[in-house]
Amino acid sequence: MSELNWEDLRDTDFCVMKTLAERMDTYIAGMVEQAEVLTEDVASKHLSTDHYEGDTADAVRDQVGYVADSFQDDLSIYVNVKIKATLEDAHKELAAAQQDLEELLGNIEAGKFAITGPADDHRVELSEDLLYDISELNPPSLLLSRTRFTEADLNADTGRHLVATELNHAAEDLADAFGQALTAIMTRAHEAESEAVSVLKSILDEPAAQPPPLGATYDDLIDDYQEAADDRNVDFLNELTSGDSEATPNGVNEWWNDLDQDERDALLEEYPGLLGPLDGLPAEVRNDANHVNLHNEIDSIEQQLAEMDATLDEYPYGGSFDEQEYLSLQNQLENLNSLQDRLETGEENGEDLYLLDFDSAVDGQAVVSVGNPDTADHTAVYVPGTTSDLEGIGGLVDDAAVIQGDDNDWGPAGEETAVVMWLGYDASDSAYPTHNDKINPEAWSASYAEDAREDLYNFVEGIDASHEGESHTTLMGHSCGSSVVGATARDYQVAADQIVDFGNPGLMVDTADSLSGGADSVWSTRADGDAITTAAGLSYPLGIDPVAPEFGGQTFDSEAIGDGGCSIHSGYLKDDKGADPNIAREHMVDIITGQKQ
Amino acid sequence: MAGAEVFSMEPDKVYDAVEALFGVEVAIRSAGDELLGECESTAEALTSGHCAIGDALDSAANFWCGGQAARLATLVGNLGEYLATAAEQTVEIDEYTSDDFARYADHELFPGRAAEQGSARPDW
Repeated sequence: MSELNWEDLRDTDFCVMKTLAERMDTYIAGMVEQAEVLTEDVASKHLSTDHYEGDTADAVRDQVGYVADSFQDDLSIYVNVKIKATLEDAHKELAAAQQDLEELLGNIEAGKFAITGPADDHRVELSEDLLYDISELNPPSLLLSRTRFTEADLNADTGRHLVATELNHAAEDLADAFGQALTAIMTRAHEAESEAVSVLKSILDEPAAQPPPLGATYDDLIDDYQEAADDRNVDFLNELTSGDSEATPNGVNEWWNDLDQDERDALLEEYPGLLGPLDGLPAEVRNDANHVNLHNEIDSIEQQLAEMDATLDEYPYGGSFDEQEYLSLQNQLENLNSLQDRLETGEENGEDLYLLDFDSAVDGQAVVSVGNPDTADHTAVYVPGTTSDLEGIGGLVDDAAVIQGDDNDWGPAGEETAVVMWLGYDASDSAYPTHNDKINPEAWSASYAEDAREDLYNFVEGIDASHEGESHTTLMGHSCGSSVVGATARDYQVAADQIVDFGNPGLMVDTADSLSGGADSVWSTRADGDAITTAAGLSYPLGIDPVAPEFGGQTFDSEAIGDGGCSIHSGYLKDDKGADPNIAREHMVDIITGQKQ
Repeated sequence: MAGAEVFSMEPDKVYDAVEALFGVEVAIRSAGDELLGECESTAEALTSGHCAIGDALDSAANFWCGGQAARLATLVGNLGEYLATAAEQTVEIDEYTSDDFARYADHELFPGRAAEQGSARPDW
C-alpha cells in the first residue's frame, strides 16, 4: 500500500528523477567510452597481434572482449532500461498527475470547497464560506455554471429558496465529482509509483553473469559464461514477452536501440513471434515480424486443415475428426486471409500500412497503422467499438485511412499524420438489449473497456517511446471504443495529448477532469438521431454523457449522416450527403493536427 | 591455454595496455561512486515525500554501482595485473607463479594501486 498521499503528490519535486535520468545519460556515455578503450585501445591497439602473440595473448584479448561486451550489455539492461527509463517514465506520469492535481486543487479553491480530512481521504466538502455564499445567493461562477440559473435568477425577488436549494444540491454533486477526480489522480499516481518500484526491485532478482576472472579456474568457467552471454538477448526478450519483466515500453525501446544491427537481425530472424507484439519496438520492426508471423500462421492453419481433410477422407464417418476445431480453424483462416488481403490492397494515396499486432483467437484482433507512427508529426490511435472483429478488418482499416487521408489533405502543409486502428481488445458483439436473451446488452458492460485498458495504455506508451523526436498523439474512440479510451485515461497517465470521441455512450467517468489529460483535452461529439443516445443517458456504468455540459469537456459539431439511428451512429466518417465536407471530420483534423486546442 | 606454437611480446606495448586497463578500472569506480551519491540524494528526496520509488532507487543504485559495475571494474583490474606479470616475465600464463604476481603486479610497480586482485594469481 503506497503511503503517497495527495499532499505528497502536490509538494514533492519529481523533477529530481528527470535530472537523475539525464545525469545517467552522461554516465552511460562515459562508461561506453571506457568500454571502447578496452576494445579499441587495449585489444586492437596495444595488444594487437603485431605486439603480442601466443595462447596467453589470445586469451587476454578474448577476455577484454568479454568484459567490454558484458559491461555494455549490463549498462544497457540495468542502467539504461531498468533504471533510467523507469525514472523517465515515473517522472512523466507523476509530473502529469501533479499538474492535474494542481488544476483540480485550483478549481476546488476557486469553488470555495475544502478537503478537510487527512491527506489520504479524498472527500471534498462544502466550506463554511460556500454555504454562506449559497444562502446569500452569491455562488462562485463555477457552481452557477452547473445549474440552470443565471445571474438574473440570483437577483430576483421570488423563488430564492428554490434557487438556494438547487445550488446546494449542485454544490454537493460538484464536491462528489471533485472527490472522484482526486481519487482518479491518486490512482494514476499510485499505479506509476508501483510500476516503477516493480522494475527497480526486479534488478535485484538475478544479477547477470559476468566473465570469470583470469586465474586457475578460468578454463572451467569461461565456456559457461560464453553460453550465457550468447543467450542473453534471447533470455531478455523472453523475459520481456513472458510477463515476468516489469520493463516499460520505453525500456524496451532503449534495449532495442542499444543492440547492434547484427543482434537485431538475428532476433528478428529467429524470434518474430516474440517481437511482433512487443510494445516499444519501432513500427517497422513490428511490421516485419508480424508479416512473418501472419504468413506462418496462415501456413500452419492450412496445413492443419489439410491434415483434417485427409483424416475425413480416410474415416468419412468420424474417427478422431473434431468438427468444432475444424470450423474454428476455418474461421481463423478466413479472418487471417481478410487481414492479409487488406494489407496487400494497400492505400490509394500510397501510404504504407504497418501491421503492429494481430491475434486470430476467437473474434480476432489486429492493430494496423496507416502511415508510420514513428516518423509522423501527428499520430491518432483509433479504437473502434461494438461488433468490431478481425472479419471486418477491411472496413476498420478503411476508417483509419479516411481519418489519415483527411489529416494529410486538410492538415498543415508538409506535416504527416499516421492513424493506428487499434483493435487490440475483444469488442462487445452487440448493443441490442435482446442479445443473448440478456436484459442489458454486452455493449453496456464496463468489462470490455476495463479488460482492454492496460493493453491500450502499453501500446500508446510504446508508440510514444519509439517515436522519433517529439510526438503529438490523439486517442480516439468511436461508440464503445470510447469507453475503452475513457477507462484507459481514467486509470493511467496515458501518453496522449488529447482524446476525441464520437457517437459515444460515455467515457467511464463523470467529469472530463477525471481523465489523464484534464478536461480541456477531451473532445466529444454526437450527431442528432444517433442510436447511442439511449445508452448515453444511462450514466451507469459508462459514465455521464460526454456531450452534456456537466461533464465539463469540450464538444465539436457533427451532422447526422445516414437514415435512422443505427445508420447515423455509423456515419461519422462517411462523406456528407451534399457537396459540403463532413463537418465532424474537419473538426477531427483540426484536433489531431493540433490546430484546435 | 597450453600448447602454444608461437609466442612473442613487446613488453612496452603490454605496459601501455596495463595502464589503460588500470585507468578504466579507476574510471568505472569513480564514476560509479559519483552516480551512487546522486542516486542516494534523489532517493532521499523521494522518500521524504513518502514516494516508494526512493527506497527502490536506492537499492537499485547500490546493486549497480556497488555491485555489478564494481565487479566489472575488478575484472578489468584483474586483467591489468595479469598483463603486468606477463610483461615482466615474457612467458605464457601457465608458467606464472604466485610469487610472480606478488612481485610484478604490486604497488611498487604501479604506485598508488595495491595489487589486491588475488583471484588473478595462478594459485587462486
